[in-house]
Amino acid sequence: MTPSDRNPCTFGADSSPLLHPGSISAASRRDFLIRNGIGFGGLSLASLFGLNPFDLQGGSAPVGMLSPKAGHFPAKTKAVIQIFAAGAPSTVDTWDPKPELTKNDGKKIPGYEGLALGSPFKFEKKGKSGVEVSEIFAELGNHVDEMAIIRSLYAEIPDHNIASKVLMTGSPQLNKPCLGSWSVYGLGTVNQNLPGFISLGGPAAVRQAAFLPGIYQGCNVNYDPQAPLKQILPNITSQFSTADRQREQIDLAKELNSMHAAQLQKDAQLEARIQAFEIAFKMQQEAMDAFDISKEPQSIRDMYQKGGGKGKAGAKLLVARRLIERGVRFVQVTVPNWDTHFDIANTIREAAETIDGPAAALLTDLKQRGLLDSTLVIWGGEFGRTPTAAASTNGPGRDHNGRAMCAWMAGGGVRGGITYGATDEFGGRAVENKMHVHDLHATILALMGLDHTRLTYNYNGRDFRLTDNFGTVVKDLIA
Amino acid sequence: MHTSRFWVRSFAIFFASVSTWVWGAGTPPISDVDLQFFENEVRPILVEHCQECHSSLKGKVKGGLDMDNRESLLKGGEKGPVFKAGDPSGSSMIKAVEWLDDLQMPPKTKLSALQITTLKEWITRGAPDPRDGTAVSRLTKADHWAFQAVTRPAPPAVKNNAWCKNSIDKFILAKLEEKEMLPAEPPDTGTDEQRRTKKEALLRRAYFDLIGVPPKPEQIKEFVNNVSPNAFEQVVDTLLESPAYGERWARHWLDTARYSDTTGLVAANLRGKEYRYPYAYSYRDWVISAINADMPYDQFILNQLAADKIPQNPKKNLAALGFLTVGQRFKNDDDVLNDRIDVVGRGFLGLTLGCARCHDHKFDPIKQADYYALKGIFKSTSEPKDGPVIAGDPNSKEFQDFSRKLEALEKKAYSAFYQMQRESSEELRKKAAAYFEASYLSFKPADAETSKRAQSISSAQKLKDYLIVDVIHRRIDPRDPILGPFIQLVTTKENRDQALQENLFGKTGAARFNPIVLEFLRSAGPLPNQVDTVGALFEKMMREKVTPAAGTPANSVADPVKDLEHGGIYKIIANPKTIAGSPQQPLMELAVFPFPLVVGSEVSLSKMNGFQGKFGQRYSNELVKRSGMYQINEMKLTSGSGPVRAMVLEDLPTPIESPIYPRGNMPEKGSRPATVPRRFIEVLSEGHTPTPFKDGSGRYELAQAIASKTNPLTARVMVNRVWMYHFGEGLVRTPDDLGNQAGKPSHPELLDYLTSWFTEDYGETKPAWSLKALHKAIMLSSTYQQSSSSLLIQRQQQIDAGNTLLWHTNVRRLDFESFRDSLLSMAGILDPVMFGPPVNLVSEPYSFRRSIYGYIDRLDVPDLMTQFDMAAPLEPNTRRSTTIVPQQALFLMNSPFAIAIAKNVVRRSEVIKAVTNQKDARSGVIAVFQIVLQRTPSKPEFDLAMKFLQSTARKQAEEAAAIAPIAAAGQKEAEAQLKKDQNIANDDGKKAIVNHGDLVARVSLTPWEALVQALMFSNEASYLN
Repeated sequence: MTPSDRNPCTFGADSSPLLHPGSISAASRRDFLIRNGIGFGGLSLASLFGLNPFDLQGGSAPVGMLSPKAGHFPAKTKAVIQIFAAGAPSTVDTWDPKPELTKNDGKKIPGYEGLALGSPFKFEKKGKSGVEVSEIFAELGNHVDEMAIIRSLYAEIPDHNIASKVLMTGSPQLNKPCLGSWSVYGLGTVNQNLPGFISLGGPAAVRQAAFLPGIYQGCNVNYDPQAPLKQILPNITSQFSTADRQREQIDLAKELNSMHAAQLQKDAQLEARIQAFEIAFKMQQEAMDAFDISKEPQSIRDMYQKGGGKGKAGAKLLVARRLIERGVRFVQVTVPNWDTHFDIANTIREAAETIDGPAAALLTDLKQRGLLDSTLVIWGGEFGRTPTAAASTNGPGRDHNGRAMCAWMAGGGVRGGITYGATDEFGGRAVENKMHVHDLHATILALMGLDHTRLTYNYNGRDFRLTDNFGTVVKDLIA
Repeated sequence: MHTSRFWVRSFAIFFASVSTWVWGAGTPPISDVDLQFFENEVRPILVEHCQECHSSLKGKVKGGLDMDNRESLLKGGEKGPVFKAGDPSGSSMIKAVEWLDDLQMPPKTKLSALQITTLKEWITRGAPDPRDGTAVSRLTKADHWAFQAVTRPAPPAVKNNAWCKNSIDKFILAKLEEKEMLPAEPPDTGTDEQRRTKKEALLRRAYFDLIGVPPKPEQIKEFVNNVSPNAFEQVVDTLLESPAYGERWARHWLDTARYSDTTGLVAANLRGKEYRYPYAYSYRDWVISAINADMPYDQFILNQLAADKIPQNPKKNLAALGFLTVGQRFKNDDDVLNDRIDVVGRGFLGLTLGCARCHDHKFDPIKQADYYALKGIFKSTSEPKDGPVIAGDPNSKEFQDFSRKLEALEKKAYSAFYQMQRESSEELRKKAAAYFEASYLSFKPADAETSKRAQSISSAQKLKDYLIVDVIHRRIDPRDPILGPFIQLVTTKENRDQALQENLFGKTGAARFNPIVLEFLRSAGPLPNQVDTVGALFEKMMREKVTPAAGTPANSVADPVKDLEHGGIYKIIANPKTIAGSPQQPLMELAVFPFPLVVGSEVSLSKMNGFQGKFGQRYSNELVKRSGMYQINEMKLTSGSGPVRAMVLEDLPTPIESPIYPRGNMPEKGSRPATVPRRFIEVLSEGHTPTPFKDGSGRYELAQAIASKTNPLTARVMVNRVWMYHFGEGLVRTPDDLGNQAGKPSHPELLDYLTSWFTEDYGETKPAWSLKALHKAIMLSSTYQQSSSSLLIQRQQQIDAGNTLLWHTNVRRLDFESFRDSLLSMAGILDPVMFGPPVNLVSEPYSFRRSIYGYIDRLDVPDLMTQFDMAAPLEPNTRRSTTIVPQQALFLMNSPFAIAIAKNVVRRSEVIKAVTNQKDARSGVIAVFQIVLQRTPSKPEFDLAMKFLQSTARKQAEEAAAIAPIAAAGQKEAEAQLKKDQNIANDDGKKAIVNHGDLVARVSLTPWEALVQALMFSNEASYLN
């Protein structure tokens, strides 16, 4: 049993200090390596100690904290683009058609307070799979054969802040690392010249590394297609020196460093720091390139703007694709406006308009580049909404509902053209194959080749997991 | 100690070491995997769903089935065994939980499919069960070294006595000699050149360790030339007396105290409301002062838990209570209390007490009852709306200016609050019939028709939907003092006249409803019964009974600002004491409808904050916009000239005990969970039997129990931390957890020796609990003064690569604060001003204050700080990571801050001469090395630097021309950004503080500046050796 096999809140086995009095346990050695780690690949602090900091596969090549690592089993996807539909999208208007609800529009329905509110939108069978799709997703509808639509998710507490935290970190109140942080902690990232986890806007809590080292925190990029590129990443370019000048400076520092090292012991941290400057030097160009969508052909830019001209979602998803293409592990895009308490005929349509075209373009684009097989795209919000009408005199709306929520996944090893789970006849409660966020997390990690029960981090004497003590991989969703 | 139990314990440990847990004679061994499975998956099911009724310990053994331990479970109940190991389908237990037959267990709620699968799997595995019915685990836990009394071991004998400067060295050397290892060289050996290098390194180490900034060139020179045997001691003494010492070590403590300037309230994630602590800095400043004054560590603890309870305590010490109050806030008060228990546990005791919130601690001898005993203590406290003023001169001009400005801001905010209410009330009165009708019909409509009717009224009359949904709907209640009677007019159908007579005009009605409403209805003639006609009546009442002039001086309602000044209606209701029970109350109540009277009364910032919860987001967003309410805390946070307030806690008049939450969940309504008296935790109490606390909440008694020499953890925890900050690693490597998960210290005897010495009082020379004395003892040891070089001793590298035995000094990276402070210090621009409101550390215009004065936003720590491994202020995090990421390099390469440093280093007098006069280039290069790296360059280094200067000088014109357009564009952008940031009207509470000052001019660097920046890139500038 390796240290990473240990679960939280149990008596540790081989690494229990009781068993090795006086020595440093494997867990604390691993902890040491991670705390004093190198935030990119290719160097071996670990080798000094003869230990792989992750020890996922029993001591494969020694690694830096962000260098790409094999997971626990073969991965179905290399990268993830998580589209966070903030505000809690309605289910019965998007991905869970409910003819019974429409039939009972305006009437009391058993088991619910208030009056049924049928969806104002029509659903139509799409693709070979014939999955029914709401008219508001005219573009995405063409991709149903690639998508697995989950209809039976649920959230415990239908409060925006709390449920968003659960969706991202698996925990309603504790400060836990989020999905993206765990992914990069477990797998590293391919491109060492870009951060492994990038969040294109959204609140700080959705990209937090909490007790994981800071390098696993989502790098916050307030991407705005209108803003100058250099304002996007802090300190990404110099306003004071040319690249040639910087090259000379770095070369001087390198020579001084090697003289300094000659007087001391070989220290992997010091070596790593030299390399950090080389990477930073290259990063200046590479990051600027990655965020520069003007380098895309007009036809591609147009495709991402289709129907989504109002928002920034198109540009953000295009940047997301560019990042994934360059080997970034996890990109998070927040697309808000789903908190539709009133006038859903308009508010939901508008929310959908900002993402329908862009998300469809992303799937098309990934596919035509052969990236869809290795990129998992997830769309979902923090909870769902009631099938009954919210109090409103401003056009009928829907209230918060934690008992049923929707999400879809596409690409990256997902079984396409299916729906998973079901709600009751009116769509307010998940009843069949109910799926907790922990199960969603477990499944996403599994697609990435990570066993959610073994991806642990020891903090304050306890091994923590993304899925706490819960979570089941939903195999039906995996191709 | 109970010897027989002790034997059981040793027995368990013995067998544990062959990697299989053995729980007592007669119990088959259980494998690691099975044990884990049982503890993680099975035990929770049994505890939560079975043992409520099947537990002899709980006194309930229904059906004769006791599931407390393996033996009794195997035996089964009245109907015999409940399972066959290995055969789930043949087990009656599985049939029962599957609800297949008549016997359905648990009777109320069926287990989830997953739980049933788990139980099946468990039986398939042969029902491995570690529970042998004895309390083995708890006793084993308490046997851990850290729970044993601190001893005073004699320093061991060593061969090389000459190396040892004090007892610390003997403990270290003994272990090295055991392995035939040698310590690294002391600073005073070797050639002159070697001695100089080592002394420079030692001096630098001492400066960074104690004050967090490097020595100046003249200080280096003085120390290198001082051959007195006391030279280093003099340095240590001087540094300990420097106020910068407190700034350095307070920052360490703030990591433990999870210090932040913001609440981190979950609801504030999206920043819908005020989330800043305007006076958190009063705690930070107290810590700096206390550490500078070498406040004995026991006093340091007492103050932070109970400053208000210490007899004759100076008022300024009240700020110490910020330790408890600057933590993270949550929507749920239980979570806030948990934060306080956690910080006390990890901060003072090195115990993860928070683990006992849901169950007895899995590793340490902490019972769930211990947790709730402490919870009762903090539950028995409250925070005053405004903390006591502890500093600021009320007669000073600044103070008075501040008060005036604050008053103006508050007046503006509160006026907006009243103004919005008034507008809403007036809007409602104007269309009272329509509002009544639309609100009534849209509130839980019985059919679609009703709902549509409400909508058409609303759109025809242009009603404000948010007023209906967010405000009026909350008063659609037949008991509401204003609306209630009208609602009853519509709803009362049967026996109408009599019912109305009784319900409205009878005794209950008089107590419940507004007398003006009742009087109006009494004289209204025949009472209508339809929504629209009742609505019309409601409007009539509002029109007749509430007129702008009623009950207020003339003109007052016309302008709410004037209104406040002249004592109009809103001024009156602002003071509930004036209004409560007064003859004006009924009229006021009507005038502020649809808001309840209490909302109008006594407005404050926190009340405005709470508004969102009460009345929906749309109303609240508008209020934020119009009131400018964020500017109030913004000003308190940034002004620095007003009163300073302490973030105190006070005891409730009547202290309370906390119920024990089953599995950490709030007890269900109506249930009566056991409570536990406020007391200290059992394992640390004398004889393991704590006495309940009697003095108020018990905070002072708790503090005394912690700040005690006989507490085995308190002093050990602190000594270990101080050691960690001096050596890079603690004797125990987990500074916030000395429990069973921590493992043994690398030098247990040394830890005890130092701990007992630390708490001992030796009079003038060494007071009890003195941190300064501890620093000195550590730093004057040979162990501390070793060189960091380990090149010469390859063999030792193989034996102890991690340097656990301390055979050389660890190379350490500077933390964020000392790294930034050292840059400012070398540039000669470090602003020495101490204390006061926080400054922005990360954006232009830059502050040049020390990093401890930086603004820390708990939920949004700036990327720069995160990239340099600043402690996350979410929880106590005494130990920082030291990761290396390219973003750190980018900061040094490209940030205007780094450029400002390089430019200012060159402006220093030692350097500027060389810049202007080629002949002085030589002294200039040496000065640059001494300033940036605090040492003299070697010959090859010197040559390299000269070559760099020449080469860059040749290309300077080309470089300047290339960068000019980029710099100009950058300058423009920076100016535009600054203008935006400085406009206080833009403050929606979402942005950090904006400093005053200048932008860094965007121009290309001179060769000298480029040289300085290149030296800043070098590893040495960021590392200590």
